[in-house]
Amino acid sequence: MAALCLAGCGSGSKQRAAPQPKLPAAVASALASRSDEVAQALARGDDCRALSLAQRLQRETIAAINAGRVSAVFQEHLGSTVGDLVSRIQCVPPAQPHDNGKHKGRKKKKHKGDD
Amino acid sequence: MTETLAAGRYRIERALGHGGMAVVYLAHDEELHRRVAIKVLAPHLVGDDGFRARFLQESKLASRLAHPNVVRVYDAGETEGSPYIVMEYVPGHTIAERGRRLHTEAVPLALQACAGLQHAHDAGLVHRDVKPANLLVREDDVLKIADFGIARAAEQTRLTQHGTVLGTAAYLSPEQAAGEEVTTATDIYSLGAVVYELLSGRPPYEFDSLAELAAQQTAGAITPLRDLEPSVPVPVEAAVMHALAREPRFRPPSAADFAHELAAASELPAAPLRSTSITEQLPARRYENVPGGSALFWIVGATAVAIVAVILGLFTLGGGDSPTRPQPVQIQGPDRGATPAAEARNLSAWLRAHSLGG
Repeated sequence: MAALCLAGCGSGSKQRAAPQPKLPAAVASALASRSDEVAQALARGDDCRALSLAQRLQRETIAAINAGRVSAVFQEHLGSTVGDLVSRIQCVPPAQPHDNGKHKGRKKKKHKGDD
Repeated sequence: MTETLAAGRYRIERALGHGGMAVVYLAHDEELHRRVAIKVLAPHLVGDDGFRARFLQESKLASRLAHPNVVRVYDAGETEGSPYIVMEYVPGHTIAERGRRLHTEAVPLALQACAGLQHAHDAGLVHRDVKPANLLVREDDVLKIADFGIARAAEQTRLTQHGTVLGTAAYLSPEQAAGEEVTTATDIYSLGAVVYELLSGRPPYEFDSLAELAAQQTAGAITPLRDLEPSVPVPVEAAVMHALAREPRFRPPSAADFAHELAAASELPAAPLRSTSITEQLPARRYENVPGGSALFWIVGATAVAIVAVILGLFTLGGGDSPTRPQPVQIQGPDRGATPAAEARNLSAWLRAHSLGG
């Protein structure tokens, strides 16, 4: 205990800041450009395009994380922000003209829950 | 079921599914303007006060996990006496629904599951119920583990011990089936069982009763993967069988180690799984077994600490200006922004600010 006290009681302890981690320039630039595209699409009012771009951004983010190209200290901020961005963008397709009850085309996609 | 929860904050849109313990709804968070999944405890469990309390308590612990491969828990509460959990909505399917996969598809999914598990294990949480139904896969093949904490709440109640077991027993570790202590090794075994089934089309053991399962697990005879699916590379088979070792101590020591084995076997890059993230630490590591170290161990350890402390203390008193241990780096996330467009711009600026040379 005395030894611990000696160690802890020293005056003038100096704390060195660890080197600031950085994102690889190529990764940061690619993701930032994609994020800019999302912002631009939203500014144009093209929410569906923005959602598609945001989802692509999310895939690219996860791929970068899984490839070990994103330092651990950035992973949560990056992953959660991108996830939040995707969840905030609502794509409401324009209403289709009336088709007299005839339905042609695509099947609905099935969504499963978290259970 | 009311159409809104939490004083109108969550607007229920439709039911997504019914499980043995809960009903899951798709809902809209009117405050944060996002879709969420809400799990409401099944009516037959509402009367069990102990279970209700554990359900909420475990949900709150799980809400501290933040990882791309774990379903986020946003909120929890009670409505009309029924506890509910508000979670990230994951459109897609469970890993079970697409059935058997080639190893080139199965291993990347398993690596993601390992990443999520490692993150939870680092935070002191064991899932205890890793099974195909709890592994959700989005359309972009991102896997997310659901229901952290739920199993722990469930396993302490008599009400859920019957009926639910056979469906999930195929993924139970031998120690779980025997009612013994559950550790992180349990999750590794269960994930190994899931990967085995993904690759071969059947779980490691086929049985008609829990007694039969226990007998088979005791015998430890699992059909080698390649007997069922010869296209599985030998190293992948070895990694999966390693995870399925009957004795926990013979399994990979961590989910990260399992991932490294699988990745090396498949010649895929392993994700950086050893979490040093800033997820809030849980109050206690409930799975930890501190080895009952001998007195000698503690004496030697304490002596070593004392010697180092004396050296450091003398050095500091002597006015040495060598720096002390670096402070851990704290990174602020980007501002959320009032609108999604603002959030996207903030994210872009944040990325550039943290770029090498930025």
